[in-house]
Amino acid sequence: MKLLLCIAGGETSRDTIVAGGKIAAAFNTDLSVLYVGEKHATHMTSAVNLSRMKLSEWKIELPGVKVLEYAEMVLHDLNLLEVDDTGEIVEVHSLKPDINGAYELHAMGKHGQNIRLRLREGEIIDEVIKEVDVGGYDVTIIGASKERRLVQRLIQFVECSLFITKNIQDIDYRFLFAVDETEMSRKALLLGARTAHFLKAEATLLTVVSNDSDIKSGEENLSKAESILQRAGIKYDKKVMVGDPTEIIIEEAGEDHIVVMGSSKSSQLSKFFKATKAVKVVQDGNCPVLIAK
Amino acid sequence: MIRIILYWIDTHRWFITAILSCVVLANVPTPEGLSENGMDVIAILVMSTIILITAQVPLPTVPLLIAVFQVLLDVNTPKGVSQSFMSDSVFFIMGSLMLAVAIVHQKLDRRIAYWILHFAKGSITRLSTGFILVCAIMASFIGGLTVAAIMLPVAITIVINIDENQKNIRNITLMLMFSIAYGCAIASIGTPSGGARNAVMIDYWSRLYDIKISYFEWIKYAYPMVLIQIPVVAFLLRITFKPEKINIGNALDKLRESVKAEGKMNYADWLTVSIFLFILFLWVTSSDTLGLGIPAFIGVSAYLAFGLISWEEINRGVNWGVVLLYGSAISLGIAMQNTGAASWIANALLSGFTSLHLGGGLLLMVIMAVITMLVANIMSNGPAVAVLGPIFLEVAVLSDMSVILVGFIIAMASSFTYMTVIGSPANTIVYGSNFIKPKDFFKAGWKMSIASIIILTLISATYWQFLQ
Repeated sequence: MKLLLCIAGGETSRDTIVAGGKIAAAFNTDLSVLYVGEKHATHMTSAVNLSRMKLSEWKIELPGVKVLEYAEMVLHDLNLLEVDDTGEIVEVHSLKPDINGAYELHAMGKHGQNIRLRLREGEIIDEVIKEVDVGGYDVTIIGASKERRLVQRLIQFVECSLFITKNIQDIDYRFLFAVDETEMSRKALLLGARTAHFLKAEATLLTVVSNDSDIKSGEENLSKAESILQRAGIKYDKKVMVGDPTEIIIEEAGEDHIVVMGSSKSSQLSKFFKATKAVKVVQDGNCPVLIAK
Repeated sequence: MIRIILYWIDTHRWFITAILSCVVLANVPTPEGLSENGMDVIAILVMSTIILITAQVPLPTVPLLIAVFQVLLDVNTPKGVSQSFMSDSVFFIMGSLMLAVAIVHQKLDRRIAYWILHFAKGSITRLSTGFILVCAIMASFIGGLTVAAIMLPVAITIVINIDENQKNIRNITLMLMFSIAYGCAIASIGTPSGGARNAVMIDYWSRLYDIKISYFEWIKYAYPMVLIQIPVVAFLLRITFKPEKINIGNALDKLRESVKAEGKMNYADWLTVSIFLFILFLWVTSSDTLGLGIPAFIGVSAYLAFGLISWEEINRGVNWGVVLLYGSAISLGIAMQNTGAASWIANALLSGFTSLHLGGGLLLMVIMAVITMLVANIMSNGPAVAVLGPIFLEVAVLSDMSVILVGFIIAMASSFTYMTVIGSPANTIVYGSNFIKPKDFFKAGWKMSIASIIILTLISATYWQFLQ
């Protein structure tokens, strides 16, 4: 598994870096930390490049590098990075430009994983989409935007599973699996169950049906889901509820659950014009959300 | 596949809107008093403005589309369009950008840092004033882009030397950063080589109204404005970002000794300065015969011949798309004039102003200055002059005002880009340091905007009348 962790800044993203670092450590997986710097208008590019040339002559680091340095320090504190006898972090290469469209510092993880710190410039969503395309990541970890359109674009166009770290806190989260009959829901269960297993978290299985007559089919969905959690050795409880799925998921999740759900089965065209359940949960809820694709 | 198409539509929605607007406007019934070709040019203007503001495609797409649509909509022939793209002013812009790259590649910044630190004498106000002075004087001749690129590392080094933790000296940091940005802004109108848009204005005067303004004449009109604004910037920055009360003397002394130790100006530095002074001499004394572009080309040739810069470095540093952009701006300006589009819009604007009892005289000039300033802050200074220039110059003709004075008003007001990051290349460079937030531009920017409009009004009502 390959993880992409997108951060919005240094100290302000500490909790996100810690959460991503813990997941990477639990899965013992490759991790790339991506920071997207401000986009410059095309006609300003040469000016910015000239300025950077002068900054490097004065040995002043590129804007954005400090953010990567901070992320590296946090990952080091989490004991994720390999160090040599002198205590220095072992680097495959130091910061280099133009590595798959980004500046990159490549370090080694404690167990031989690749830990990459990457710096791109541009519109955040566009750059994340490009990064996922070149990096072949399985899960992207990213903070939530206040703008619904950005969340919608992210969920529709990023081609891997997403862990949106809304209101992430340093607490022991429970997992809330929002289950339905779809294949995406099953994928979400598998991904969420692995994550919950590694993080030693407990879970709630939730299915929401539109009226009382559907309760039986809801229970069938839950029983299929139960076997997955049982195999993963996760303690869980289960609920079948009637009503609006989005509202109920948000209410049940509160602030101390990580919601796990599949991406919508709607057509691309429909997702383009209409917010899906996942978008609404991210937008209106106040907890992290894992969306499987 | 559909995901890729939808993603493209999503990321290019304003570009699509721009193209559709152009096609629709070119096909709707033409309003009374406007020729069909005039309407076509307005359609191209609307399209270009939308693309410039929304920037969803690389900006050099705009000049390419201006050329393409002029031919497709039968506004001009392919030969006519290509001829309208090139002029002495475009040579001048090209040459100035190459000169800027050549100068940035030298090591003059250490000496400049030394002079500023020497001038500061341990005082933050003097330090800020030193930055403003150096930026204003240099940027008026070699452009704000170059000067901001040279001065930013100097400012950052000073800030880091005073205190590694910027939170402790946030106001001092902002004061120095804005000394560069605003110093460059007020200077960019000092001479024709201060900003490419000045060359565009010279071209509009020359090709639309047959008025020749030499390098020296421009200085006569514009330089007093630069000199008056230097203390104003220093004062407004001082009262906006009240510097933290800490002793910076030791840090500055230490840094001064460190840059001094890196040596005096060498042969290459002296040669760089000498060649530039020679070009300046040619601009001031011979722009009537040599134009503005040829002296710049002489300078670039000399830099290349003496090995002060390589062609590869020039090629990497010059944004040729900007040259195309200004070429297209001039081309569109000529098309607006030739088709009567400029005159039609000017008439509409003027009747609007008159109905609001704002028509004519100084008040109209102030309104044009304010509109130019606001547009420049939104779409950056060069494109603002390109879009508004032909229209406001025509307003001047229709309301019996001096085309020269209105031209200067537009050029000067376009430099009042104090409030946004994208207003000028210098703002973008300084913002790129990550020491400034976008809202910081507004803190001092609104005060500077008002002060500059007042100074411009006073100068146009007094000093410029004397020159006429």
